[in-house]
Amino acid sequence: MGRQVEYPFAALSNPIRTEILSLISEYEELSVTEIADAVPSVGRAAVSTHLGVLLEAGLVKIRRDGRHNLYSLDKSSAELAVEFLRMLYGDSLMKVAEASSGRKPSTRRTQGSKKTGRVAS
Amino acid sequence: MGRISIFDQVVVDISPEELFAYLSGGNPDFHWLLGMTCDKFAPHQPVTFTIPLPGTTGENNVTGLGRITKVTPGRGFTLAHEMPWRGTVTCALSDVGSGTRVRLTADIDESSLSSVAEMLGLAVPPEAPDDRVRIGVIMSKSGPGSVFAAATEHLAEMAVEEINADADQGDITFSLQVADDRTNPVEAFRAAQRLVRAGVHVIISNVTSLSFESILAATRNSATMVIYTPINEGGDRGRGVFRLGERPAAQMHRSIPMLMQESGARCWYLAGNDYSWPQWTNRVARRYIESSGGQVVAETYRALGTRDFSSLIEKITRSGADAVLSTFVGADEVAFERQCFDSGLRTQIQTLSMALDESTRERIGDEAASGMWTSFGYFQCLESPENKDFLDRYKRRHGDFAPPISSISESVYEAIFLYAHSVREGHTPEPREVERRLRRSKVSTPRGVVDLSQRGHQNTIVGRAIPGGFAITA
Repeated sequence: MGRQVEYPFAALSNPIRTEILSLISEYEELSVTEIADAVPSVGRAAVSTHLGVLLEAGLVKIRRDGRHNLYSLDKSSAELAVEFLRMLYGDSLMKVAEASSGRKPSTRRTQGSKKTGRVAS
Repeated sequence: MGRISIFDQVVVDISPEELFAYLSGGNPDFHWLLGMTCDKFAPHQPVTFTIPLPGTTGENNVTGLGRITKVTPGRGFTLAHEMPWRGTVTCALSDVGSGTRVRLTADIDESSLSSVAEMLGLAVPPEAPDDRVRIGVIMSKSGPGSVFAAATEHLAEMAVEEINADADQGDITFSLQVADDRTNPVEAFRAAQRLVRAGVHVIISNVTSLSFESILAATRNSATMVIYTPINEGGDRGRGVFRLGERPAAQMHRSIPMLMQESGARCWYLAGNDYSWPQWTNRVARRYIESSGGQVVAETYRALGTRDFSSLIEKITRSGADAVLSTFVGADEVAFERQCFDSGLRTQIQTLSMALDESTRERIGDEAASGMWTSFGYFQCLESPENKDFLDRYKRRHGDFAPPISSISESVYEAIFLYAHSVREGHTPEPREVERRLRRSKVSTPRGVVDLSQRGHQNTIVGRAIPGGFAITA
């Protein structure tokens, strides 16, 4: 699974993982047991495995509370959304570069993002 | 509302002019910017994006909608994003030595990041409740119904803002929470559950009636009121449930005889999506067709989400029908009508389409939609003073490139207005009290006077598609 999880959004390709992530984002912090109870279609062991993938992909983080591990989002939903959009626009430009050179691009590339307080109409 | 700017650039080896020709549709198979497609590369043209979801191989693509707002030949262009997120993206080309720098700058409305998160399958935590009365709106931001969503969202926000701006001291004020049913009854159920948990007082929705049944099921044991706003087949009028939109009979009692009289068409092919509203509409249609001296030659249904209509078009061609009654919805109707046009069917037979609103028409395209018939209680081109004023406010708020308004989106504005009016009048969001007032409310709206004490029927108008909109014929 190594290569797949390097790409944070690839970890979302599995519907159970999306469901788990969605639950965590809704309740903010959940234990494995709470997640397993809320996702009855798979067992506790499978939930743990999925949490491992999400952890490796940098989508969730762990906090130790007494005997429990509590899982929460490592990035906010909004941060993930911005990352996803940045990836989409970036991929679009790579298509331009590839198509116009007819080979893998030998292009210079810079990217970034910023938040502005500009008021939209 | 803040904005997030994303920028990215590459430098390529060809000249800006050459590159521009390529990027603006010089190669019809090159859909580079989020898989963008459009009929013509010119300002105001609607564009469709194909957005791949993470880790999937195509069948889970999300369709994005927007339009071109500016084109500077050889130098770049700007697009507006409308769904599922809002903002603009500018592509600017500049000379660098013998090559070109391509710079993309996307300005995204921060408030629409939640739609992107939802698209990725992430739940978005609701805002903490406050003393405002909370209005939930469920619309289809993804799936075939997303055609109506951009205008619906704009109008829902405009309604709540206007009502709050109009508050006197001590008046109840309102907040808005929007959810997406993905044009899917299972998601509609979840969205309604989430809104109920978030404490909304009312759910107002213009999703398909298939999704609406799920919303009813999800709210049955709650105190949440539900108002269904678009064209609909009627049904449960139980406690706390309202259906405001045009009924099939109201849409067809004039349009069917008028089409037959004007064109001489007699033999009808009934075709639509496979759920209750199209089926019920077709039952009612038979009555009007037969009483007008016509006959139905066949009736065919296709699942929501169908994109290839070639076998259906072949059946229609072979059937000898000279008129089609279409009850396809949203992107399905867009695909069906474009394929009817491409196959030459448009010029051979008449089409009456029950969900052909302004949003759907512009995506079918000026040429492909021209001549189609439809009927609604509202058209954007209505010339009443109320509507002119309404359109002025919409334009002031959303600019010249705002998506067109239709009966299906305007109905949500109207429902929010009716609901808020009843809450404010009774000084309480208590559902029984609101319902009592709502059932006898009579207000002037952009579509004219809506009188909820009269069983269902508002005035309906017959329209025919022309480039840029509709010509009202009666």
